[in-house]
Amino acid sequence: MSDEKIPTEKPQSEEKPTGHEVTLLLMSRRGFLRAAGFAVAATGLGVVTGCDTPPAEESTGALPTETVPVRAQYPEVPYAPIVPPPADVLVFFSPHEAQTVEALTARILPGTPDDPGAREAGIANYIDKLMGFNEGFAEPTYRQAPYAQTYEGDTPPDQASPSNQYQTVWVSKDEIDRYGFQSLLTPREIYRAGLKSVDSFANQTAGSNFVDLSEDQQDQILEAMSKGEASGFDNPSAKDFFARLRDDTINGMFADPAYGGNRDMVGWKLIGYPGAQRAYTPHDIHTEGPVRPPQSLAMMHQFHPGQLANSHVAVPVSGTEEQRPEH
Amino acid sequence: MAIQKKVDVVTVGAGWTAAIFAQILTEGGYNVLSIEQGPMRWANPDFKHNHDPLRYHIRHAMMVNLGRETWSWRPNPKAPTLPMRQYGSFNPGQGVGGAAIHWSGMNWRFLESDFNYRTHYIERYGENKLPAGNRIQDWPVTYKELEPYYDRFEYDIGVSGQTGNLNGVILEGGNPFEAPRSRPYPLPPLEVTIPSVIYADACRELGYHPFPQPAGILSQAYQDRWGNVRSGCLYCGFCTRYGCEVDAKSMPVNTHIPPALRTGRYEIRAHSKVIRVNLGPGGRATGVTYIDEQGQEQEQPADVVLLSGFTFTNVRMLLLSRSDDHPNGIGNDQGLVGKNYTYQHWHGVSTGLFEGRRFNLYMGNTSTQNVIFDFQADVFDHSDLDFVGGGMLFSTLGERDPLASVGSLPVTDEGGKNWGQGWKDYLRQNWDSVATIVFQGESLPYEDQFLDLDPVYKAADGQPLLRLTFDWHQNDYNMYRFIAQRADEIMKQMGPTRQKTTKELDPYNIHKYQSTHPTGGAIMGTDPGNSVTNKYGQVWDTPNVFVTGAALYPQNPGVNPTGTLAPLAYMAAEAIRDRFFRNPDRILV
Repeated sequence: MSDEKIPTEKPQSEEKPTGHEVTLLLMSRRGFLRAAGFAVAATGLGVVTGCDTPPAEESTGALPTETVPVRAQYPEVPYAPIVPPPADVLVFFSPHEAQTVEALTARILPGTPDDPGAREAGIANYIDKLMGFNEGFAEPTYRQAPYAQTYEGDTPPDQASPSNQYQTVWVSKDEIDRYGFQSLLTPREIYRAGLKSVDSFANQTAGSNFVDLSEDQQDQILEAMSKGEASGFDNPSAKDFFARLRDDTINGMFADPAYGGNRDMVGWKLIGYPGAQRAYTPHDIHTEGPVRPPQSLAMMHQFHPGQLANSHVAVPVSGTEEQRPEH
Repeated sequence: MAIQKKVDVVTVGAGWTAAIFAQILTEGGYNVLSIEQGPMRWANPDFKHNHDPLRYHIRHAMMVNLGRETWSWRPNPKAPTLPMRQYGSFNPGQGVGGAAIHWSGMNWRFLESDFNYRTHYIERYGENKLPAGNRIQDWPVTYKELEPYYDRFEYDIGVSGQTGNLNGVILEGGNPFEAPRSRPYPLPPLEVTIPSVIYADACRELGYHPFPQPAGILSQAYQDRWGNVRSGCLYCGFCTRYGCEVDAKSMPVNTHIPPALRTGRYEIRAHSKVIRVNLGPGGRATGVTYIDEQGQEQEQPADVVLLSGFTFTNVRMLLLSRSDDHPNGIGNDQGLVGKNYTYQHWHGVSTGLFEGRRFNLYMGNTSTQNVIFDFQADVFDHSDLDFVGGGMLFSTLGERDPLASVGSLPVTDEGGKNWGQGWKDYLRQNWDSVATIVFQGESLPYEDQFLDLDPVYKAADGQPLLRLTFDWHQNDYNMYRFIAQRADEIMKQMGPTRQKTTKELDPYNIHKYQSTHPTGGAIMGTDPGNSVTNKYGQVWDTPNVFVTGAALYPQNPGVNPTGTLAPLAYMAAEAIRDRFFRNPDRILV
């Protein structure tokens, strides 16, 4: 399985840059010092070396060739894509897997065209593109062995056990949750195995694949998974896979639309969250109810100190004497 | 390995204490070099388009890259150890400014009794009051000694707050339990959230003393003594775990770093990671070795080495830097490095659902709220209680983004179904109708609670990870139970539709975020028999190595540590500037 390219590459287009794109352009190596603000620019005396380059340029996916670490071997967290990735191009899932993810997440957050849920928000697209980066690890993860194995009862398996020929950290099943994420599997492997288990459980209990079942039957399967009562799941367990699906549904539904979910900001409209705003006033803080229509990163006002941030608030000037009053 | 040009002082990392040292020492004519593992960054352009909770909050974009280095943990010396593979309990930062870029700005002074903890409790309650197996000890510095430095730091960065005790006079609306301050806060407090107003009313009805959270966030525009001019807070809702795009949040890059750079005697080398302190004849430090951006090892000679990284970094560097004179690491000739590791309690204790209300909790920040100190430290009588210490109770914090909050709904004791149409409808109606009372409390040192090098797991630099051995003790469970009852009563008084209180403390786990306040491990004290450093952070057995930050704390009080580690850095930096170089092998007194 080769590393998919990061879904954060800047598209090569002649279009006028959005606010977000401008930010990335300014962060290029050459542009950095020029744009680096008053402190360096004003003095010219202090020395700043090793300036940052955007992560989009640094993840090569190459294997380590030296004993000393270089940054590229450990990708940082990717930036939000400038435009949402296309929903009709799959970078990881097979079409059947994508449909199954869509059906599963649509039972976690059900919807209709009038009252959008996970399907309408594009959650399967969000998860597919998440899997496209660094084996699905969008968050840097420590991946050094040995990994943990769990045991039940009071004592770990004895030293004569065949599994003890390998370095293993034995942890009681009751204690393992305290240690957080300890999976040997990558998120890609978790999804591939978990989806297979969902279908085999669906076939075993209801006679067909998950996507072909009625909503009631699908709910019963999710219910059994959430309670850890669904059979045939090994690694990930039914409960863990349900939790993973729910977490990713939440992240896709309520993250910025740039990531491929939360299409038309339907997640934010559902709960009354205005998204990426520049400012609120003390008056806003104490006025119950929506005070702004929702806004995504791409819609955000470009940041030029001193300009109006929206109809109410001026962005004050940082590094100068100037500040405009609110309202 | 290339040898770089010698400097007067080299610092590990370019966080806040390094920046404070750089400002004070370059002003005194010394050359300072900071070697920082992360990137260079300024408000503009680096933070100007960062309102992306998935990247910054959920995926921890500003934190140390765990792919390269993490920390391993076990609950006690007999339990198995595993590395923290993804973020949970704490969030150390990487990059210029360190964790003081993504901090929440909560800025406190410790109480007078926090500095003479052991003496205070024994005098008031007798020796037996302190829990078994504790390593509690007095600080080698008093509040009174530190007050001028607290004052200067607060005016240098522009702290917003309501003064409660001005030269011993208690003032209405502030914290009546705070230690006396010589000047009022430089700026008025920040605005607070709607539930914080309800909370303050409920607290007053119950006889408590609510006051607004003091913050290292400007409530209005401010010009500091170096000429930095910064905006007041815009309450945008993207604060903790983000850099501030308008410089309203006080950060090293908008306070101490610009004047240090302006002297021409300060350099920051970004994307470069120190891997050890080098030792020479007589056990003195000769500089550091680091890996540069290209992966090449470099040697950096210096007269003084300042360990000014995060708590864990400083302790790990001490343990990794060895020679015949220091076979167990710098500062560890008496085996005290890693001892007195402490943490802090941070728990959402009681949650109330207020049906029909919309609280706008996505606005503001973690400091836009009210607090009570009525159960902090020893301000309340512990005679009839089965624990020592305490903590504060926060009203509901701002900057509540959906990604970090919808997962924990609904508010019910029965564990209501958290998926499906019913859940969706619940989120629609109630997502922004929830108030939470948060407890932040002190953590004490024990014999079976410490830091050392992991025997199995390694970082990308090929050297061992730092291992944490830590769990809550009986004093913690008892303290939590008492505090949770108070929080439950306050929430009841606030009048929610439905209420859920976690009445008992769970054993420590490393997967849930609980504050980036790990402290101790290289503690300061009065002599080499009880500590690793003196009150200036000067290592007893290696006098040209200094440690800064919360690693110096003998035990951790129930408030955020930043407000005190900065004044300690002022005091130490001035001592080095004015006295150390005259006689560099001497321990400062």
